[in-house]
Amino acid sequence: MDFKHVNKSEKRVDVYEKVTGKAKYGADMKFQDMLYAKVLYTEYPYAKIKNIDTSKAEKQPGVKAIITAEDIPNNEFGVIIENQQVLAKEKALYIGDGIAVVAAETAKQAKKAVEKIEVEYEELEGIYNPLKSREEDSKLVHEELEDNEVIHHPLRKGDIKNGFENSDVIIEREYDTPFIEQAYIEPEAVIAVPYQENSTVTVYGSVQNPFATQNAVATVLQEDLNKVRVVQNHMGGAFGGKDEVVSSLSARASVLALKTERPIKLVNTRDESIKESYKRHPYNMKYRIGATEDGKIQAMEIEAVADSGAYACQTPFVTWRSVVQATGPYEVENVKTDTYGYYTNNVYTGAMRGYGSPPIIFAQESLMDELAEELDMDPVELRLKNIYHNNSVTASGQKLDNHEVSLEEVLTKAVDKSNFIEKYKEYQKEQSGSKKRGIGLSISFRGCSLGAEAIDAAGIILSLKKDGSVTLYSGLAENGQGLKTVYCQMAAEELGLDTSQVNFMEVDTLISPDSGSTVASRATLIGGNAVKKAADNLIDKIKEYIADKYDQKEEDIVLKDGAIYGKKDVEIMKITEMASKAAMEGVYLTTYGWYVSPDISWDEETGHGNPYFTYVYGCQVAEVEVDTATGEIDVLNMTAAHDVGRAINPANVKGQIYGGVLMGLGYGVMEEVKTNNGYIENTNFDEYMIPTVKDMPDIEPIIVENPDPNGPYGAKSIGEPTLELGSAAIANAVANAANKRIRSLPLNLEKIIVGKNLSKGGDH
Amino acid sequence: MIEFEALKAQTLDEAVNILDDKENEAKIVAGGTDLLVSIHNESEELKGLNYILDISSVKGLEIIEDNEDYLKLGALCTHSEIIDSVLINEKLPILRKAAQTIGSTQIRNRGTVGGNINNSSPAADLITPLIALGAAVVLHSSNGKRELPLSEFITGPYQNSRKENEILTAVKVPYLPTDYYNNYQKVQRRQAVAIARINLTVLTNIEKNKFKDIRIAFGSATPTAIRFSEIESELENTNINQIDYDKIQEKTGQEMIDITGERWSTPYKKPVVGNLLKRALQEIIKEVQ
Repeated sequence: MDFKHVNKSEKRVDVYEKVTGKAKYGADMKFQDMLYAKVLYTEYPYAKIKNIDTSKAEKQPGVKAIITAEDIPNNEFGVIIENQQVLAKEKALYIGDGIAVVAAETAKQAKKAVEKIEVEYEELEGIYNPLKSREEDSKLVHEELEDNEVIHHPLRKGDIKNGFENSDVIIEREYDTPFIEQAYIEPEAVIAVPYQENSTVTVYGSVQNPFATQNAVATVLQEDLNKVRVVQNHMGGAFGGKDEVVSSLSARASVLALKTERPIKLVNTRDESIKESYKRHPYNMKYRIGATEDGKIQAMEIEAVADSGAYACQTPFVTWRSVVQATGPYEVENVKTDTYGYYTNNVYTGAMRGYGSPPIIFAQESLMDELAEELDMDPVELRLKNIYHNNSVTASGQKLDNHEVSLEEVLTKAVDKSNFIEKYKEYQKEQSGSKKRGIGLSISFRGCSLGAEAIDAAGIILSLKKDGSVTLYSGLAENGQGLKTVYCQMAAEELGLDTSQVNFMEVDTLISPDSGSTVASRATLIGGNAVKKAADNLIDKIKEYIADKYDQKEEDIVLKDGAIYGKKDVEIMKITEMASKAAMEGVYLTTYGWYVSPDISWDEETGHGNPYFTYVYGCQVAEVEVDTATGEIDVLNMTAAHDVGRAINPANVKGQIYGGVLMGLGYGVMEEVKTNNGYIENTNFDEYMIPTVKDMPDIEPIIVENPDPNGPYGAKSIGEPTLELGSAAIANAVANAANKRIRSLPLNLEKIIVGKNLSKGGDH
Repeated sequence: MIEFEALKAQTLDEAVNILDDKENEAKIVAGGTDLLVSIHNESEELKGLNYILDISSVKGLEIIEDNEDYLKLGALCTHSEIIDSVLINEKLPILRKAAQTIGSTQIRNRGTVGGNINNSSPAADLITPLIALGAAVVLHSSNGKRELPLSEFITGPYQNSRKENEILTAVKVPYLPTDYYNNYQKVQRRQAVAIARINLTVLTNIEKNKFKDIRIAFGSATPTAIRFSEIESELENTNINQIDYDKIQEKTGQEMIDITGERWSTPYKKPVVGNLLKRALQEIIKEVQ
C-alpha cells in the first residue's frame, strides 16, 4: 500500500516542547494560593494505629490542615477490588501506607509539621511470603476475608495424566522473579484545585490514566463524576506505574483542597515513590513439562504464585494474562495451569510494562532450553517443532485463524540476523579463559489489548476548524510512547492533510471521550481504529456538503493532498477553503469515532475461550559475555524481531524496542526491589540498580509487518512485547556460555559465582 | 529535616579558624558527593549538625604538584582533574585508572580526593592505589600541620583519625620508578555509577622475570582497604612463569577471611578475590611479555 503519512518515520509532534525544555510536567505547575502537602508514612509494615496526635503539628508555622483516614469520605478505592486505603485507618498494611497528610504554605513547613505528628502504633507480626500466606492456617492480611487469596485462575485442557504417560522425558523446574520498580524518571506529582470552572475538584499532574483517576477521586469524595475533572500534564514516564498510586495521591490532595479551599500540590520524592508505589509482582513458578524423545511437547503442568502485597490492585488481571500465556506459544494438547495471587504485608503490586507476562516468559522460555538440553536438541529446533502456526489451537482452545501467526518468521529472522545457530554451537565448546561467551533466545505470543479483562472500546473526536486545521481529542493518553504522533499521522492520512495540521489536545476528562486506560499496549490498536472511524465520519460529512453544494456524486469525492477532488479527479477546492465556507454556512464539521473491539470470551472455571482477538509475536536473541571470575555479565548485543502488524511510525517502533530491550536487560541482570520483612531496603537509585547507558548493548531491531485485519492499517502492539523476552534470552545465553542454569532473577554476581542470592539477613 | 548554617572559607587560615570558632561542630564539604547525600537521607551520624563549612574555594588545595620524589595532590583535586593530568598519567597511571571507574562524569567533576579519603569507605576507588603506593595524608589545624601514612589514618569503615579541628589538605604520593607495572581491577553490579563490590590494586617491579616489591591492596574485601602482606610475601621473588595460581587464589581468599572473618558475603568474595588477583597478575605478565 502507498501511504502518505502512516508507515513513515515522521517527526514526533510533541518534540519541540520536550527537547527545548519548555514542556511543563506535574511538578512544574503552580496555582495562585497553592499549598504544599506532605504525607506521613507508617513506621512499620504492619501495625495497629492506636492513636494519632496532630496537635503539635497543627501549631507549626504555615500549617493549614492535617487530614487522617477520619477525614476521607470514602477511604477505600480500587480499579478491580476496592480495598486500597487512601490513608491507613485502623491498621497500616504495608510500609508505604500513609497515616496523615499535612498542607502548609511551603513544602518545608509541611515537612517539618509531618515530623511533629505523634502516632502510637502497636507493631504486629506480618506475613511477607505468599507461599506462607497461602497456607491454610496463615494469619490474614485483611481480617474481613476468609483467606489471603486474591484470585485463582485455573486452566484445564486435555488430560495431563495421559500426556505425561506418553512422554519420554519429563522435567520439573522452579523459577523465581523479584519485585521490580517501574523507575519512571519523574516521581509522582499532582495538584488538586478546588472549585474551578464548575468542577468541585480539578486534578492536574502525572496521571497515566485520567479516567481511572477521575473514578477513584469521585469514589473517595463521593462526588459525581461530572464534578471531578482530571487533566493530564506531560508525563515523565509511567510504564504502567502511574495508575492507582497516582489516584491515591490525587484523592489525598483533593480532600485537602476541599478542606482548605486552596490548591494542593503533592509531589513524591524518589524515596517516597519507591516506598509507596506499587511494583511488578514477584512470581514463584513451578513448571512440569513432558515431551516425546523427538521433541513434541505432550503435557504441561504449571503453578504460578504471585505476591499481591497489601492490596488487590491489578493482581486479578495480571495473573489472568499469566494463565493465558503460561504455556508459551506452543501447541500442547494437555495442560493444567493454575495462577494465584495472595495478599501479604509487602508493598502492593500492580501494572508494569509487560503485566503478567515477563515472569512466566522467563520461566517457560528457560524451561524450553532446559528441555532442549535434556533431549540433546538445539533450542531452535525444539521450538520449531512445537510453535504456533496459522490455525493452531492455544491452551485455552482458541483457534488462531484470523491473523497471520508469524512466530516462525520472527524466530527465523532473529536467528538468521544474529547468526544464532553457528554461535550457539561455537560457544558450547570448551572456552579458554574466564570470560565465556554465550547466545540465547526466547520467543513469545502476546494477546493484544485488554482481552477478557474488560470491555475494550475507545473514542476519538475530530474537529475541522474553519482554517482547515484539525483538533483531535483522545481519551487515551500520551505517556511518552509516541501516541500523539501516531494518531496525528493516522488522521492526516485519512483526511489528506499534513500531520502538522492535526493537533492532539491534552487528555482532559472534561472533553475527551472516556476510552478506558492507556494500558495493555492497546492505544495504537484500539484508539487508532477510533481515529480512522472519526476521520471516515468527517469525510462523509464533507462529501455530503460538497455533493450537495457543487453537484457532485459522493462516491466521486476524494480528499487528498490538502484538497477535495470530484468527478474525473478534478480539484474542486482546497480543504482550507472548504472549511472556511462550511463554517460560514453553518455546517458542523466535528465528528466522533467509537470503536469496540471484536468479541472475545472466557470461562473462568475452565480457562477456555478466545481471550484476545489478536496476538503479536516476537523473538529476542541475546549474546553475552559472562565473567566467571567475578560473576559480571556483559550483554554484548541483542536482536529483537517483533511483528507489529504495521509500523505506523517505524522510528517510534524502534524507540520502543530499544527502551524495552534495555528494561528487559535490567530485569535480567540487575534489578530487584529488596524487601526485608516488609521494609524496602533500596529506596533510591544509588541502590536500586537500573541499567546505565554503558550497560546498553548494541541492539538490532527487526520490524516484521503482517497487517492485521482488525488493526488500523493493520497495526497491532509493540510497547510491552519488547520487555518480556530479554530476561529469558539472557538466562539462556548465560547457560550457553558458562553452563550455569540460573532459575531466579536477577542474574547477579552472587548467583553466577555461588548459585544463589546472598544477603545480610541470610538466604532468601 | 536537618537544618544547618552554611559557612564558606576562602583561605586555609580562615577555614581552620572557623572550625575552632564553631567548636568543632562544623562538617567540611568540598564536592559534596557524599555529604549532600547523607544530608538528604537525614543520616543518623548527622544528628546535631549545626554548620557546614564549604572549603571548595580555598586557594592552594587544588594543586597537583610535582616534587622530586613525590606527588602532592591537593585535597580539592577532582577525579576528573586526576584523569586529565598529564603528570599523573605519566608518573602514577594507576591513579588515573582508578579515578576513571568512579561514578559518572558529573560525580567525577565534583568529587574530590580529600572527600574520597575522608569518607573512608572500604570501597573507595582511590584508596586502594594510594595504600599500595604508600601515600601519606597532610592535615592542618590552628595548631599547625601533621602528616601520617594513609594506612594509619584510616581506622575503620567510614572512620579515620582526623580530629574535628583538622582539615585534610593534601596527599603525598611517593613516585614509583616508571618501569613498575600497575594494574587496577574493579567488580561492579553495572558498568557505571556503581560502588565497587571489590577493587584491587597491584603494583610490582619485575626483575629477571621475578616479582620484586610487589604490593597488593584490596578494597571492599576487608573493613578498610589494606595490603595483603601474606600473599605479597608469597609472590615476592616468584618467577612469573612459575606461579601456582590455585595456591595463590586459595591463600588470597584465606587471607581475606583471616582479616575479616566469615561474613554473609564470604561465599562470593572468597573465590572472587583470588580470581581477581590471578587476572591482575596475568595481565601484568602479558605486558611483560
